[in-house]
Amino acid sequence: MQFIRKNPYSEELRQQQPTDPQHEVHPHKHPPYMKVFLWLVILTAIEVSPIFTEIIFGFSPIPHHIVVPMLLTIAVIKAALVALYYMHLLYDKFWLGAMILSPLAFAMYFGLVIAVPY
Amino acid sequence: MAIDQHLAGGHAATHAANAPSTLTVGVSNRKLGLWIFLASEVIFFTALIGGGILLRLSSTPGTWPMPGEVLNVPLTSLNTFILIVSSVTVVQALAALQDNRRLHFRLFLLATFVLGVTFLSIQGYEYYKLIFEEGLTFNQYIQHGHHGAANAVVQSVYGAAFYIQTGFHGMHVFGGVLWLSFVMIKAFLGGYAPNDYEGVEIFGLYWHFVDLVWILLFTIVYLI
Repeated sequence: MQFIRKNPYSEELRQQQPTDPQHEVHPHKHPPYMKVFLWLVILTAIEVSPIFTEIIFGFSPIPHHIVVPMLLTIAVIKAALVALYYMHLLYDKFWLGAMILSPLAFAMYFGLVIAVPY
Repeated sequence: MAIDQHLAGGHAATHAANAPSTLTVGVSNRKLGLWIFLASEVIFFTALIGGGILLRLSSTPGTWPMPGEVLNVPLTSLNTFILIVSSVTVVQALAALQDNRRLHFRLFLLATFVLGVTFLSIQGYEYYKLIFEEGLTFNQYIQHGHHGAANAVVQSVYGAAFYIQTGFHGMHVFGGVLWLSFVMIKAFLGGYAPNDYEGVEIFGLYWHFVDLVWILLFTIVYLI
């Protein structure tokens, strides 16, 4: 099932490339690495801002019960950016992503089982 | 099924014999192997982080320090930034190799190596400070008294959870730096080419995964 953009790192494309080292190499089209980096830095800055405010000014601008889900959401977004763009999961085979996420699904299930009061 | 066609067709088998180590699933053996390893790493780190969360949730109230109370968040924020930059230098090295910019490729690898070593050095410094100045050990930490109150030694598994989670991550960074040193030696000896970049790509996958784990650890261990 290939419903994602053509993978620039696929075997087919790699085999189409010249094998002769003297052959002129055409530049690849790369994922937006620097744009993703900028987002990672911005999100990290947002992430650390509540605790830095607390360290510098002695109070937290956002209540703890709001900060925790906010920080966890940002962390998941950052992790997804790294996986999708830097690890090329956005461009690679769909099942690779499914394979790496499947243990997490089990972990969430077991986590829920433990978290439910008994 | 592509695999059935591969098994049935002698022509296809001959073709596959000439191709680099490739299965008909469209991912090379080396890359598939690395992804399977990373899936096992997901299980490993999920267990570690999940264990840390469980210890925290089941701890006696008042025995788990607030964010920034024991740990040096500004220093670790710097380390987080360093690891993110090192991920960028890895992808830039890969891009430079694919574009046949050999000098940039080697320099970006070298930069990644320096950033990895810097990350480990800062973590070593952090551990030194925590053990010898903050008194954070596997079973206790020192709660600094505010407004003239005396310091108190708090019995807690907080230190155990902290050292195990960040320590295993640090060992992964160390492993990555070792791996990178081999990649770098090969690169500086003229190895890799625009059509032979899989070794760099696979190392990059591991390095990004270690960065990804840190992104989650930083939030869970240091910020909340």
